[in-house]
Amino acid sequence: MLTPGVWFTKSPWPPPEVSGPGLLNFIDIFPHAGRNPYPYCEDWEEIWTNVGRPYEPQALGLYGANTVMSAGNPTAAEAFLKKLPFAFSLNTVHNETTEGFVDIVLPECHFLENLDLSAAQGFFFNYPIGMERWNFHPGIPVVAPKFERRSTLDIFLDLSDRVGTAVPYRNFLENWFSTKHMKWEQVAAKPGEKREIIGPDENIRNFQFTDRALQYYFGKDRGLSWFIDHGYIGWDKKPEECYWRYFVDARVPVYYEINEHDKEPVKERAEKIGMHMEWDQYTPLISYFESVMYKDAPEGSEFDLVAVSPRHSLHTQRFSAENLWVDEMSLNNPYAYNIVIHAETAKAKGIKEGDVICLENFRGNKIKGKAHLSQLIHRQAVAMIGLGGWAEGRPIAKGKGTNFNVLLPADHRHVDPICGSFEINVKVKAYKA
Amino acid sequence: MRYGMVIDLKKCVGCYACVIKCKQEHFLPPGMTWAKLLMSETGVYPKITKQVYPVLCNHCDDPVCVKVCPTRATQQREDGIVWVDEKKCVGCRYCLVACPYQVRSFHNNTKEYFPKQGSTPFEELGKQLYPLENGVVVKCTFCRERIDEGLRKGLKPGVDVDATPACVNICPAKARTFGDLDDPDSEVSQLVREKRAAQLHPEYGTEPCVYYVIA
Repeated sequence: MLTPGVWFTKSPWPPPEVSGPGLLNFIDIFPHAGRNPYPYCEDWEEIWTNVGRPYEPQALGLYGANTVMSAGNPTAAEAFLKKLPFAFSLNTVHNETTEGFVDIVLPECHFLENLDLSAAQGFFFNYPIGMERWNFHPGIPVVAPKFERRSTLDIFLDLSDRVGTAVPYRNFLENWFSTKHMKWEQVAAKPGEKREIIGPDENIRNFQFTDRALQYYFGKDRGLSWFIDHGYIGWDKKPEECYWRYFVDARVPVYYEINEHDKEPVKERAEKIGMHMEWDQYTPLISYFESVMYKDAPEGSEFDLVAVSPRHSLHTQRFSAENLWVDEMSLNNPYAYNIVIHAETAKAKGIKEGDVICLENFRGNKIKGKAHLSQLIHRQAVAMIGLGGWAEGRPIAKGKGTNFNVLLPADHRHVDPICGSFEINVKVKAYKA
Repeated sequence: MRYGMVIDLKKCVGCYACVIKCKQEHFLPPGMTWAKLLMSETGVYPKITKQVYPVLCNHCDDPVCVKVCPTRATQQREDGIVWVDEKKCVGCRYCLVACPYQVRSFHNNTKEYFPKQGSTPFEELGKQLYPLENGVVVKCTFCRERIDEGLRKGLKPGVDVDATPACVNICPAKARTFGDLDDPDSEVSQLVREKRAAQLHPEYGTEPCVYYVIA
C-alpha cells in the first residue's frame, strides 16, 4: 500500500480504530475523517450532552485563524466560542474572531518580517509540475519586525516553555524538520537518539534553529547566511521524481472493504449520541448519493436556486480581501464582490443588474448582496465568492462581498458520514431586498 | 526601431497580475491603473465564452494624442514609445478625450491608501522614485525607465528581464511578449505574422503597437 510520507492531519492510512466518543469534534468516532466542522455546529451542545459531557472546553488556541468566518456557519461558531473561558490567538491583524472572542492576541510577524523555514514546505499539490526544477525557499525577512511582533517559531517556543510542553514540542520540531517523522501522530524521542536540529531541552530560538536545519538539509556551507545571500536553492528534477507513479510498485485500493468493516461500529456510536446519518454511504465502491440539500428543499419548493461559493482568481480564502490592490481589482471585477445570478433567472424574479438582493435558505438564514447578471452560470445557481466581514482590524475587507457561510446549515445531517466534509451548497430563494 | 507587445489571449488567465504589477512598479495612487482588464461574455448559456482583454496604452505608430496636445507634452520617441512630459502638460485633457482606447488617466491630488493616517513607507518611496505631478495626464510608458536603464547596461528589451516592461515579466502564463516590431526576426514580429495577431480597433487608423493573439 502506498502511504503518504507527510500528512498534515490524522494519517489516512492505516485508519485508526473506531473509538470514543470523547473528543469535542467527534473525530474519534469517524476514523476516515481528517476533520469535520465540529464543534462549530448548531447541534454540538445537544450531542455533547448526549455524550455525557465528560469535560468542558476550557481554552482554545488559534494560529492565524479566523474561526468565525471560516469554520462553517458563523452563528454556530460564535455560539461555541462565546462559552469558552479563555482563548488566545496568533495573528498579524485583528479579525472577526479576535475582536469578538479572543482574550489575548499574540502579534505575529508579517510574512515580509518573518524568518520562516516552513514557508519552503508546501502542500504536496503545490510543487513545480513536470520537469521544472525543485526549489527550497525559506521565508527570509526583508524588514525588521515592527512593534512587538515576533516570528512564529519564537512565539511557539516561548509558549511551550511557559505551559510546560517544552520537551514534546522540541521533539515535534526535531521529528518534523529532520523528516524523521512528518506525521500528525507524533512519537516520543527514543533515549539516546541522535538529535539533528534541536535537543529536548535546548534553549535556542528561530534564527539558530533555521540555520541548523538548513545546514542539516544542504550542508555546512549552506546555512542561513547562504540563504540570505541567495534567497533559495534549486536543483534538477529526475524523471523518476516527476513521473513517480511509473516507478513505484504499490497497490492503490479501488474496493474499500474498510468501509464495510467500519460501518457498524461507527453507526453504533454515532446513533447512540443522536447523530443520525446516511449510513448507506459506507459502500466499498464509489457510489452516487444525492446531496442532503435536495431533501432540505425538494423539487418544486420555493427554494429553487442552489447557492455555491466558487473560487476566484483574485482571492485566496479571506486574507486576500485585506490587500489594497486586490481590493481595487475586485471593485472593477463584476464576479468578485457581487452575487452572480443567471440573466434570465434574474429577469423572471424582477431583478436587474446592480439590485441589492436577498438570498434566504429553508431555515430563514439570509444574506444580502448586489446582483450581477451573467450568462456564465447555470440558470439554477447563484454564486458568490464568500467574503463579507465586519472586523475593524480588517478595514479594507470590511463590508466587501457577502458572507456565504451564513446560508450553510451546520449540523450532523450536513456532514459527510465518512470523510467529515461539510455540505457547502445550499438551496435558497432570491428576491429583491 | 518600434517597440511593441503581443498579448496571447489564449494564455491570459485574467489573474490581474499585470495590472497590479504596473501599479506597484509606478507607485500609482488608489483608483488609478495604467493597465486594465476588460471582461465580457459572448453567447447564451450553456454555449458561452468569457473574454478577458488586458489593455494598456498601445503606443500607436500614428498617435492621435500627440497631434492634439497643445503644448507638445505628449511626444513620441524614435523607438515608438509615446510619453508625457509632465513639466509641459497643462492638464487640458484633450489627449484623454482624443485617445480612442481610453487608456489615459488624469492625476490630480494624490489620494493616500490609508486616508487620515499619512503615507506608508511605500508611498513615501514612490514620491521619491516616481513622483506624479498634480494636474497632469499620465499613462503607461512601456516602462521606458526600465528600457532606457537596461539599454545603458547593454541589455535587450523583451529578452532581459531588467530591460523589459514589468507587466511582461510578471505574467505567470507568459502571455506577453515585448520587442521590436521593425525587426522581422524578433519574437513579437514572428508572433504577429505566424499567429495573425490583431490590433484593437484598426479602423481608428492609429496603428497600435499592441497586438492580440486570438485564435
